[in-house]
Amino acid sequence: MSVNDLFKQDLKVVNLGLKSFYSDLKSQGVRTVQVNWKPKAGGKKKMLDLLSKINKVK
Amino acid sequence: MTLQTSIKRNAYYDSVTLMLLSRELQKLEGVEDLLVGMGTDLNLDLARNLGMASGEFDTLTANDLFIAAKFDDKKISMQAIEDAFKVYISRSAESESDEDYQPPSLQAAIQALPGANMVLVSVPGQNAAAEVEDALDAGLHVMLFSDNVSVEDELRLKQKAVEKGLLMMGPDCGTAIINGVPLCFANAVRRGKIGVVGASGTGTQEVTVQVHKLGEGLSQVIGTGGRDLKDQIGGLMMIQSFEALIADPGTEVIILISKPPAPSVAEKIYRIAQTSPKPVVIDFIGGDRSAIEAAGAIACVSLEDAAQKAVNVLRGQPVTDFAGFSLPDEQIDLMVENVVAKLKPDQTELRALFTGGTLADEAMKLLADHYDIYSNIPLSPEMAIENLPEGRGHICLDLGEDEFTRGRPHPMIDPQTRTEFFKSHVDGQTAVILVDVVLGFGSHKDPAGAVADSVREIRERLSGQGKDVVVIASVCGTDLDSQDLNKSVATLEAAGILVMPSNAQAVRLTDRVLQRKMKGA
Amino acid sequence: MKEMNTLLIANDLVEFLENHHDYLATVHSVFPNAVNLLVSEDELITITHHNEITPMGLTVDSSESFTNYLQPGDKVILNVDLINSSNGRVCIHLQNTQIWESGAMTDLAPRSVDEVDQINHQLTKWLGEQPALGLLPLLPRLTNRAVDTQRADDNIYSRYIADDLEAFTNAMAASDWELALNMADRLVGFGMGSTPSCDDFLAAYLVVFKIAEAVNPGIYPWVSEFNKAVANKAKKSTTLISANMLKHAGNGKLSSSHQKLVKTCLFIEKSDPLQLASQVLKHGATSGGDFLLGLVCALAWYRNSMMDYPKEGESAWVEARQSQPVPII
Repeated sequence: MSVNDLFKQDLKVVNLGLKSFYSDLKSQGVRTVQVNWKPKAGGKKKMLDLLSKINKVK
Repeated sequence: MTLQTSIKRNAYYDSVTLMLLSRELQKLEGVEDLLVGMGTDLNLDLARNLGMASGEFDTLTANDLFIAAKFDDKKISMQAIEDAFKVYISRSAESESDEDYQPPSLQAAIQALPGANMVLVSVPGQNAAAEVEDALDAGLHVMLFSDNVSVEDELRLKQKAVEKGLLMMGPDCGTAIINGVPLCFANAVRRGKIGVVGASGTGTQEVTVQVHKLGEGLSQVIGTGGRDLKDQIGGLMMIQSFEALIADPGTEVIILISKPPAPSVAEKIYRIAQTSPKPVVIDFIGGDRSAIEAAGAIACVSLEDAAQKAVNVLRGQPVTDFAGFSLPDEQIDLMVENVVAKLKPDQTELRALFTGGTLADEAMKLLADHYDIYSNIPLSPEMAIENLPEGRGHICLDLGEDEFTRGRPHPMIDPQTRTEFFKSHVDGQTAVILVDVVLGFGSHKDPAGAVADSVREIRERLSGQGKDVVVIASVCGTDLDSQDLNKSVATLEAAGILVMPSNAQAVRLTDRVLQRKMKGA
Repeated sequence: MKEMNTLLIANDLVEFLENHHDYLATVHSVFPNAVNLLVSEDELITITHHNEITPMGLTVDSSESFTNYLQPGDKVILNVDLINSSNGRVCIHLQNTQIWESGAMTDLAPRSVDEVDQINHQLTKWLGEQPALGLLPLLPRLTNRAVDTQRADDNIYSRYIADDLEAFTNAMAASDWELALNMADRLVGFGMGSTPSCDDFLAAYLVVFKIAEAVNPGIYPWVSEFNKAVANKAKKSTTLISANMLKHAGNGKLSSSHQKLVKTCLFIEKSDPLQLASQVLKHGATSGGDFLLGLVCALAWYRNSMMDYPKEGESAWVEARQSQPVPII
């Protein structure tokens, strides 16, 4: 969806961070959602291998 | 260090509240360490291990909440910590009863909001790039308010965005109005036919506000972030947005705002301007006028002038530089005479205290010919504020810069910083105080009130020395902003402040006053 | 007087109310979305809204904060058709409500070990992408991923308990339940919140144990002793709210969002585990994340354990179904 396409749509905003931005959007009747954001737990590592953990313990 | 424990019997709070609470309380001045938890044996063990246990611990049961605090009792008291606790709890109770679902991640949010097309990112800089990447991968446009994002990340993200035809406004982008919706710090302005692309937040705000004042409206207002027009980024967002506005049926006139770009970037912009079927007004604040005009675009002498010219060209009216005042010259002269008469011989200095960086920059550029102004965003290295000779000279500060906003809110949100600078930087040798008052979304609910209070306090202080001071302000706002332009102007004028209709005019008036004072002295 | 209607009521609460008339309970704790009533010395009844019902609980149709109407210490009178606060401010109607089976029977077949493993892979990966609250910073360590040195935001609690938590999971992975029970001494009551993090973590294990035992009768005879022992520890070592939670978990009962998730992990049905996991996170504050961490560890234990007894497990389940109904989630 290009910039010019965006201009034709209703803005629907996901807010990550300061809640006041979200509140301001809400007060204007804009469709918006506030993410309950915290830094990531596991990072972008590869998929874990449970089997290796179990085998190791056994 | 004092160690004290506060106990709340049979008190239950959920863990997120407690965790956030303990972070908030840790930040209080004078608090060295703080632990909050239920009085279970194991939690008490932890406290003991951390050296946070006190005598009262023996009375704790598993169903009691404890707040163990180590603090400097010269700076803070347990009572103050308790009070902060109560305030925080009642505040979080309010927001908890807001039933809105708060998804735990961007992915969940996109699922929860079908058709989501924009992500607004204001999380800490070191985490922001990853979130922006995910948003772009998901095909959403991005407004990146966060700063402290590396140039490498910015370039990579903007390249991805351009490849996908998406907006990546930022980093450090504070202002945008997309499809008539103000985002982050922006003013309520009417919709219309003028499109704006800006690499500077308050500069963009000033232009949109002036367009609105003149009776026209804004189609789209796109931010690019302050670094976009540097060499390393190459104007990626400016160019993409510029082209989008050219293609946008809702836009008839385009305004571009930025500090002077890197020459290679300016080149690219001029090339597009040359072939643009729509009139282009370019304010490269203090930039090369002839180059702009050679590209077939319209050059400006100020942000206000950019707005005026755009409006004129839209209406098919002649385009001329506006470098004067809205009020008749005679009235301006009278105003100047009156205020200068109140100044004593040793009052010669300017104290310009801005919350908007671009407005400060515009002020300094307009005054550069006549004055040496020291600043934290100086026009040249030798005018850095550190070089101020024994604290004497003209000063213009951008209070929104990093060094003033460590651990505290931006002065547009919280006037306290500027209030303090009024106290510390204004003295018996100050002739003129110049300020900006920025209204709109994101801003404090009554910035004019805060300025007026400070000015009254200053006048009281100076009257003790038998002195007065000239205060000049402009209000960047509209009648549609919640803080209300007219009300704000009235509040300022009631404190004896001279209010001008734009930053440029406020700066010009400042110049007149200082010139008149120098002649008279 | 605020009138509320009950939407759903747990079957164990129905039984309680049928056996008690004009019962006087005291408000124990109040949150925006929930109220706990103390009945007897240590039993709690939980009233909620937002569709999250708990064992010994009911949900109502109001969406206002309960703090508007009740505070700890208020008296409440319980009847099978009406719950009344003696301060006259709120009244809850119970006619014509639906009954929610907490710890209900299920006709569903248990999933194969491979399927459980697959779902657990999915869950674990997804969990790694969630906000690192509570014990979640320990996800890499407890699921044996390479430790992420630029791991963001671990907290004093997760750092302090990391070794003990790992000792517990290792003991269970080595099938040494007695050692694990010993390790649990170092966990019950530890962490933030009115249900401390480790309790939420353990609750997941208790429920998975209960299911393993029900699906394979006779193979895990230690489960009921283990679960009871943890619940007893909880009575002395943790908050009343958490002790109740662990008691129910030991009996295979959880709040509805948690229950749905565990059910789909272990039994053949069509729900989306990640969608259900999001619900758990949504409802739980950090409790949700801590529970999920316990769940992925417990599912790994389950899968490992079932590898030793695959055939016996399946045939035993079939036999059990034919002989008598076994209460399983």
